[in-house]
Amino acid sequence: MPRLPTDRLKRSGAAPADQPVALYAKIANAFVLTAVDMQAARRGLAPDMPLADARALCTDLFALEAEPEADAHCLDAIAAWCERYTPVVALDPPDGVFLDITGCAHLFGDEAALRTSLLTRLTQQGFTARAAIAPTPAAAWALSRFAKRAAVDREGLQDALSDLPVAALRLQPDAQALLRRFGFKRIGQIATCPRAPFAARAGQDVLLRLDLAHGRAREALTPRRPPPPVTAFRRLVEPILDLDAILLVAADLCTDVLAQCDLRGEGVRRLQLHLFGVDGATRTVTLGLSRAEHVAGVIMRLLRDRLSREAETFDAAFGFEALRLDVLETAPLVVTVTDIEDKPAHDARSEMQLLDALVVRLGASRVSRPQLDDTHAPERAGTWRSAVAATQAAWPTPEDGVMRRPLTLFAHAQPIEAMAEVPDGPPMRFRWRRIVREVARAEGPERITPHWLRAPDTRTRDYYRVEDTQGKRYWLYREGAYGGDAPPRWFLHGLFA
Amino acid sequence: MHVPFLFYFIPVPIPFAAPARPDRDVETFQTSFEDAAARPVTEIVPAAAGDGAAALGFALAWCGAQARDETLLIAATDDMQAEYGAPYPPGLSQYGLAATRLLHVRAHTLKEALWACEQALALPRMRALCIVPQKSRLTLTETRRLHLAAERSGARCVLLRFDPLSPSAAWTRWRIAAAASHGADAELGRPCFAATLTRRRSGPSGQSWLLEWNADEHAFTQREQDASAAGSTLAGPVVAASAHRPAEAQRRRAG
Repeated sequence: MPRLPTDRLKRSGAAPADQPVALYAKIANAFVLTAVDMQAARRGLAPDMPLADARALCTDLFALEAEPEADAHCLDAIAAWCERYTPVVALDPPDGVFLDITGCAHLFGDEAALRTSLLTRLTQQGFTARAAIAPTPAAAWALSRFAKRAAVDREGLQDALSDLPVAALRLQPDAQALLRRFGFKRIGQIATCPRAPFAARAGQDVLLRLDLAHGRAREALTPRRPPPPVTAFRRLVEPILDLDAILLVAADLCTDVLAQCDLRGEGVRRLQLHLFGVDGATRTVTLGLSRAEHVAGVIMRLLRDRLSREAETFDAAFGFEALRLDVLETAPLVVTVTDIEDKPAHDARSEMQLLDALVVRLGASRVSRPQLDDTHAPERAGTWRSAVAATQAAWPTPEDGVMRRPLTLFAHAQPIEAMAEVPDGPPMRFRWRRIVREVARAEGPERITPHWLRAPDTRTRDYYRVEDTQGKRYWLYREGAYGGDAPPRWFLHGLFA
Repeated sequence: MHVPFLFYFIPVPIPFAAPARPDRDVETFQTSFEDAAARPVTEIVPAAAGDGAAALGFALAWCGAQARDETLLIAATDDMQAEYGAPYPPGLSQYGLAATRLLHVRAHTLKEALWACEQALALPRMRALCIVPQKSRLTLTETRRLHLAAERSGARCVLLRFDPLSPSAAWTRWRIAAAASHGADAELGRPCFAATLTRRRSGPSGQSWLLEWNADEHAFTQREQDASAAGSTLAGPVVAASAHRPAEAQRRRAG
């Protein structure tokens, strides 16, 4: 996309469509053009031209300061949009995108049809774009920028490249200048040179670039997001809007990915459904399972639940044109032997499915398991952790059956007014929630000193278990001691049954 | 001439001449408990506003007394935590519930909590404890749904109701109040509950018992009502001790 920065501004309305537009940046204390649009280029403007010269050449020039971050963001959005063609999309900043269409072209007819579709739709969205299909990324890069040819196969690669200028090799500017001084203008001239003497003079890098373009060396693309291990894709003839239709397609995709996983002997742990909208935006739904799953019905039930609740937030007025289901995480399937005898044994599998259903509907943070930690601070001794993440550990049974810890604990201890018989003794009566409670029985104190490292200014607590005359039981504590700097305060921290 | 037989299905408790003085010798807590625990849905209601913690304790003890290796799902809404605090794992561990078999669901609304319970009740080895907050209304339809779900799978559901009482499909309703414990000297004893069986769909109701939760044996112990005298006689463990009680307790009993 040679005119990405100006196209972006014209699309957003920040620059006028019927006026030459150029972007400039301050380079070495001078304002220099960085990008020009088609109209400005026709008037003789080009990147690297001083802004003052440009204004002299073209009096109605609309000049704006360049925003490389916004351009990069725009390029990323285009790359995300391109994921409807293939899952492997790599960014080539500042203005290019690589699409690895291996095994994807047949979904759109053939390679040429894919390219046409891509270019037409980019143009419709207001981007000037060029594209080329080649066996290697370097050749595709060169052809798209320096040649008129749309596609090249492995046999025609040598011929196609030999006519291109040496700049098409993606060389550093100084290496390019050196070649020009040697008199090399075309790639074909370098290709016919003896390799060793050439490398000694021009450097190894030029030959490496040449090998990359010809496919003699492998170039690894770094995809925008890691390609999923298993994926399935459906392109639709007509855009769909209906939830039932989406679920129907999703069920097909689900069967596809499960068949692929089945070959590997694995089950699905985490899934991502991409819904490619006609409006260019992509909606993504991620689904996590608590165990490897290989039954389509189970996954679809969760997906239906998730989609039916998220469908309102999609705001897809024009429907979806393609769907892709990625499996992000797989795990080996554990086959359990089923008991022939029909007894209602504890079924770990159905319990995991229950957990999934709860997590999908309520959120992972709201479904929890208890977690006991070996610490004295009551707030941290026992907590609820997300059932998805919690490590399961058995807890100790109390040695003597005495209820030492309350049944419920307040997140923040509630201040109470208490009156004690002796300064260091349990309270005689206290007032909580505007009601005075007379203490009939009391046990304590149990002194708990807070963690000195985490809360150095928190005072020592003396916990009492008290019972009032009505038989209600409370967990109270006195913070601080009498005779200290500040008078002690009383709190209610929990309730016993 | 044939007289057509008309069958009426009456979804209300079968009218029973409520005994003015319940015969405690005939109807011990054990028989009532065994009858109620075998039914799909049980309701537990705090007697007064301040008895919520006692009612929660009784509900957990109820689940703990009959649990073998069942999973317990506690479904509560957010506003319950403000009133009574959050269930505290070290405290829960004293009720005979295994940590690995405990699930806690914090729902936004009662509807979500009921949904979670209904999902859980589809599994046979499941106990669901749903805490109904004060501001909501539980209807007959919703309790009936839970009843059907539990009946189908053989799971059990306990409803801890803070909301105004309304007709429900539960087999029994227990009103729980906190009761003074019986410890030595000024110490706190075991948790004590004053339980009243206020409603039963078929059978006598209206009896009350004074119960103590024995954390060692995972069983309720019945106390004499007039427990004014210190060291009143214990009627002994009335509920069959559960099979998974700690070895310590077994040994203590044997020796």
